Formats: sequence, C-alpha cells, structure tokens
Amino acid sequence: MVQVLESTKLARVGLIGNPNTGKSTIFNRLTGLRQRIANYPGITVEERIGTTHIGKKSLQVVDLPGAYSLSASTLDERAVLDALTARGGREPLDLLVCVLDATNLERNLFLALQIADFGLPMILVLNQWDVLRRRNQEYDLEKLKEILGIPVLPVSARSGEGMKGLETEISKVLEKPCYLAPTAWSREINTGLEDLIGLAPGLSRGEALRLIFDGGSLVADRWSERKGEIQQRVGRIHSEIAAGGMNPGPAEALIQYKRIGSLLEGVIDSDTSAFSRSSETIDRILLHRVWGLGIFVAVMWVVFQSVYSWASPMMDGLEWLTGALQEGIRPVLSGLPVLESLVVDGIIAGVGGVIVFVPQIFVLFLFIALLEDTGYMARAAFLMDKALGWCGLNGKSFVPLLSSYACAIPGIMAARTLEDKRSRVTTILMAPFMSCSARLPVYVLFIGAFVEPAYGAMVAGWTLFLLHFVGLAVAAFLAWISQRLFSSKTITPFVLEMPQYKVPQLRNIFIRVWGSGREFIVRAGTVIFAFSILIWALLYFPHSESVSEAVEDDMVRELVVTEGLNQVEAMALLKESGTPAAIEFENRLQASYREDSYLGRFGHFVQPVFAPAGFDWKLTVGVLSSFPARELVISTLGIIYQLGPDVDAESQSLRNRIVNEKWPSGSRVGQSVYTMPVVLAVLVFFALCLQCGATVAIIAKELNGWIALGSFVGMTVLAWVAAVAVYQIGTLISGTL
Amino acid sequence: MMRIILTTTHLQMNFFGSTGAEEHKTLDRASAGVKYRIDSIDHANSSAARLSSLGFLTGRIIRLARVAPMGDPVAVDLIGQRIGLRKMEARAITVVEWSGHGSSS
Repeated sequence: MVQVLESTKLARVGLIGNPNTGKSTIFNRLTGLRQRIANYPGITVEERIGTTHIGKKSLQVVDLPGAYSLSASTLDERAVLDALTARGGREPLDLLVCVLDATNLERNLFLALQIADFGLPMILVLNQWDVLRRRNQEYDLEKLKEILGIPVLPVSARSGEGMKGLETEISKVLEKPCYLAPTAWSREINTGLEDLIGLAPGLSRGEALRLIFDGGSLVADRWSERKGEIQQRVGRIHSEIAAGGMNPGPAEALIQYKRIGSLLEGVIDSDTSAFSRSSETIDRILLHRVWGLGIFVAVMWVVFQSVYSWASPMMDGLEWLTGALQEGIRPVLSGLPVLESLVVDGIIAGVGGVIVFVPQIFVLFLFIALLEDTGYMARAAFLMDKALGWCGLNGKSFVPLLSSYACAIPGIMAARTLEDKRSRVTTILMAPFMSCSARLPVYVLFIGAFVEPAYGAMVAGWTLFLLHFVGLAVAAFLAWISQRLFSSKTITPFVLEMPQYKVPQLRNIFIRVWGSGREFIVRAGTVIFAFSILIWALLYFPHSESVSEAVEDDMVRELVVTEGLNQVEAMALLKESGTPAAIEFENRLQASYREDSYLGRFGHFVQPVFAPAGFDWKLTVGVLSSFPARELVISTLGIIYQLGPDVDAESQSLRNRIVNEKWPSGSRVGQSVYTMPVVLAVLVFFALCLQCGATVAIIAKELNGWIALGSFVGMTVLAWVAAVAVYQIGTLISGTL
Repeated sequence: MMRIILTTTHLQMNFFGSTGAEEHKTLDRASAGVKYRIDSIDHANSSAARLSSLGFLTGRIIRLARVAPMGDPVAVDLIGQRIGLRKMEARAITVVEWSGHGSSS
C-alpha cells in the first residue's frame, strides 16, 4: 500500500541557493503561474511551491528561501534546514537543484558543499552565464563536472538559455540519482559526528555538523531533553579540534573554502576576485554622500507619492464600485430588511473595505520588486542603516516604515525583506504607528472644525503636520526603550550583501506583485469579512420596533407643534418619500437604532472609561465602531448626529453639528462637548490607536495571533492614556488661562 | 585569543605584502579605497560565523570600497562580492594594509 502511494506521489525538487542568485527567476521559468506560497506552522518565511511538467511527468518544485549558509540563525536558514531534513511538517525532497551565481562562484559553492552532507541527489546550476560571457570569462565546466561527480549546467534564467537542458537533467537525475561527495572532515570532527548521532536518536549527519559548527543553531531545540549532554559533547569536540591545531570558530569555513579553492583550481583561469566594474561605477554615484542621499530621497518620494497618488484613482474606483453595488443590491433585497442590511452594510461594505487596499499593495510591491530586482534595495538599506540603528531597526526597515504612511498593511508585508527576526518584529510593530492615509479624514474633520476656525490655517497646517510625527516619535521611543530593556546586545548584527546591479525582469516583477496581491485578498479578506459581519450585527441588532415607534411619536409631536399639522397629516408627511421631514425621520431613526444597538448600549456603558479623555457617549460609539477601520468613525458620527451615513470629512453639516454639540445632562450640562482639549485628545487617540482590523489580521498572519492581540491591546491602552493626558493637561492649562 | 594559521595557501598569503613593520588596525578604522589583508578575526563577535561563511578568513585580501554617508556601515569587497557591514562587525576584523598587485582568492 505504501509503495503504491509512493509511486503516485509527485517527485519533489528543491531549489536552493544564496540570495540574489536568480533562484526565483529559475523557479518562475519552471513553474510559471502554477505556484502558491507554502505555509508551515510557525514559519513565516516566503517559501513557494509550484508544479511543472517535464515530458510526461509532473513535478513539484519548492523554491526554498535564499540562504548563505545553514547556520540556522535566521528564519530563512532554519526553513532551508527543515526542508533538507524533512522536518516541521515537510515532505522529503527527492532532488536538490543548487543555484549558484556564476559571477561569484567561490562564495556560492560554500552552501553547496554544506548541503552535500545531507545526502540528497544534487544538480548544480551556474546562473547568470550570460553576464559571465559578456565579461569574457570562461570556466572549464567539464573539469568541474568531473571533479564534483554531478551535473553542472550553465543557465541564463533571464533569457531562458539553458532551461531546457536543466529540465532534461532534472528528469535524468530523478531516474538515476547522483551525489556530491561530502567534504573530508578531520578525524576529530568525524569521531565527534558519530558520537552526536549516537547521543541524539534520529539526528542526521548534516544536522550533527550544524550542532558542531553553529553555536546558536536552532537544530539543538529539536533534542531539547538532551540539550545539556549535546552541549557538553560539542564543547569536547571543540577542544579536540583546537588540540588538533585548528581554531574551532572558523573551522568549517576554513575547511570548506580550502576545498573550494582546490575545486576551482584550473576551472577558473582569470582573476574573478574584484567586484563588478560597472556596479562599482554605479555605486560611486548612488552611495555618494551628496548625490547618493539626494537620489535616495528622490526615489523614496516617487515610491511614496505613487503609493499615495497612483493608487488613489483605483481606490476611488473601487469605492465607487462598492457604493454602486450597494445601491444596486439594496432595492433587490428591500423586502427583507435584515438580509438587505447584512448584505449591503455588512458584507459588501466589509469586503469593499478590504479590496480598497489592493491597489496600494500592488503599487508598493511593484516598487519593492523593482528596487530589489535592480539591486538598489540593498543600497537604500546601506544608506539608511545608521539613521535607524539606534532604536533596534536596520536599514531595511526604511521602506516598510515609509510605506506604512500610506497604509500599514503593505508596509507590514514589506517587512519580509528583513532577515533579522528582531528587526523584523520591531518594524512590524512600529508600522501601525505610522500615520496612515485612513487617519487623514479624521484629522481633516476635527482640525477643520475646531483648530482652523480658532487659530487659523497656519496652526491647522502645523497640527496636521505634527500629527504625522506623533506616532513615529512614540513608536521610535518605545522601540528604543524595549531595546534597552530586553536586549542583551545593543546593536543587532547587520551583514548585507550588495549585489551587482541588474536590469529588472518584468516577468518576475509581475509574478511577485500578483502573488502578494492575491495572498492579501485571500488571507486578510477572510478575517476582515468575519469582523465586518460581527460589527454590523452589533450595530444592527436588536433593531426593535419600539425604537421606531418612539422616534415616530417624537417627530409627529414636533411637527404638530411647529408646523400646525394634525396627527394624521404629520404621519403622512413622514411616510412621503423625499420630503425633508421624511429624510430627517429616516436619519433620526438610524441614529436611534444605533443608540439602541448592542454596540450603542455598550458605548453608553463604557463611556465612563472614556470620560477622563472628555469623550461623550456618541464619540465613544464612534471610537468603538471604528475598530474595524478607523475611517468608519466619520460615517458612524454622521449616523449618530442624524446626518445619514454618506458624510465625509469635508462635510460642512457634520462640522457644524459637532461644533454646536452640548452636554445634555450632568455637571457640564449646556457646555460644548468639543472643547479644544477634547479635540486634541480625539486626534491623539486616533493617531496612536490600532483601529484597523485588516492590520491586526495581517500582523497575526505575519507573526502570530498573540503578538497581534498584544499590539492591538497595547496601542489601544497607549492611545487612551495619551488622550486622557492630553485632555487633562489641556483642561488644566485652559483653566488657568 | 588563539590564532592559528592553517593551510599552506594561507601561510603563503601571509608572506605577500609583509613589509616587516606592519600596522595592524581593525577594519572600522580602515580607509576607503585601500586594500587590506585580514590578519585575524575575533570569534567572540556575534557575527563572526556569518562573516567566515561569506569568506572573511585570515589571509584573505579585501578592499574597503566605501563608507556610508553617515559614517556607518562600510562596504567591503572580497572574492567578487560587495558586503555591507556595521562598524560593530568591522571591529571584529583586524587588517594590515596590502600593497600586492591584483588580489588573492
């Protein structure tokens, strides 16, 4: 039975190699769009799986994350190690295609030799053969093949040259496996290897070597119950290596690079040790202390502007489409009010709210793919590293954080480019503090209604400008504090390859942008979908008849008094569609339903919590209902203030309404609700709070649910504390004036 | 710290460019555009393993390509690649100026 299953199972081919070798281009060539992102529990690195057909056979191709070595100190390296040893829920691989950058063979061979100890069949691919040819360099491939004993194929993945040969070779080696001979280790290492394998059941030879050579290897965690013994034995092996006359620290690198040196003797004639001359010329400009920084600012300005402005027509279009769909569906379901509201206000509004981010994600990932494909991303990180290092970030955090000013979601996804786990987590947690474009309507509404009339356009402009830095300042400060408190090291390691410049390849960029967009829609969309239905239900139910009767009675009574109508005439006026009275009736009815809804009742209930920040119950409901998406506060306030849901931040009637809002009862009865301290408290609250269901969902996906929850709770508490502080201090100051 | 020079190739490299009175300095104090020979690497540094797997080994010839506009990090060329390092990492690498022609692998 097992054998039957084995024979029908697809052969699995792993693509492995250093970053920047063009491994993904080869993967895209092999699989086209027949690919998906693999998802393993606890691993968030990007690992893609695709299928390809060679002859009549179908194969599964796995694009393993790029890694320089197997030391398993980064998530990427750990994922590669797991793939090689079929751990962490992975199927075993049947063949490894090791992709090497032909222009940087010496360093690239290091990983290939490390892999040899895992005993899997292997093919070597020398990619960027065209670049080598253009430089008039030649390698003696026949000789290399002969020494290594495995196929060595020259390929130019960009042009597709050599891909047919690779496919043929893959099916050949799957039929008749061939192996790269492992390095001959010294006597001390060999005996140590055997000891370790005896000590930890199931430990493979390759993993045992990782235990010996990598102090911080995550391999040791798999044998946690033997950790002490293993550590002791590794310590003994180290002293034996030292006694044998070798420093155990760089022992592996020394031995492997010595082997590489002898392998390449006679294979490479010319001197390949200098860095590419054309890239050196470009670096002279792009890393220049004046021009380099100037160009960097210009590039980032273009990226940011594009995410902001290129995406906005598409976003407007999607918003229009959502609105049109709502209007189109409303009459169809008008006989079934609950279903109508669920579909129109819950599902379409909720899904529309997610889809609207897709253009920004596409545009940002287009630029990220472009910047990475050309090699500029590494230069940007190099230029910015010093400016970001003090709070535990590194240069690669810059792009994710900048793009979070447009929207935190693509920003958080962009943090995948950071290899260092701590910098990545810090970047992701900082991203929602950046003042995203959804905060802007809230700022515009309150600044326009209060700050501008009171202090003029100048102060209003400055307020808006400073609000964009509140989150950044708070986040940087928190990152700095946590780095001082929780980290033993003050600076995270930063070793960054600055690859040669390349012309970007449209095909790669397209596949990448498409993949990230699709992934976002599927993953975040499901969570948002559920959230928006929940919030809709909380704002809709119980929807009791008594509310509508009470509102109707009130209005009839008012009309009788003000217009001199009788009861029947007044009632008829309310039912007649399109009259001002009927519109007023509908708006008041919606407002009363919201007030009576579970969320409205909850707003009344928790208002005391927000009272120290000066919020009344209406503002509290606005804040509560905007947790799925912060811009919802505008339409919720519109509903509560009986203006209908179609108000926007520029709406004069909403501004007038909130300016004139008075406390209806209590100690401040008759006084304005929105005093300047309240307005500033609201602004600071929105600047700091994580009111975005999509962001919480994406943090949960990229890191884990607990971190997402912690980030949400933490930012909410922080926003509350800041709002209370602003209100209280503001009230004190305005009291003394 | 124990420093042992291992292979014959590395021994040979140590003869190149030996001018007798060599000035040892850590890479973070080196000058841009100048070639150096790696004299030793401090394996207590947390990035030492990463550096050695990229080919930073005793005896190798490297070139400090440039320093970032804000003074940190630095870009180093070796065996056909360009690697950016923070000065904290560069401090783990002790170098000697190298006046040989071309470079060695």
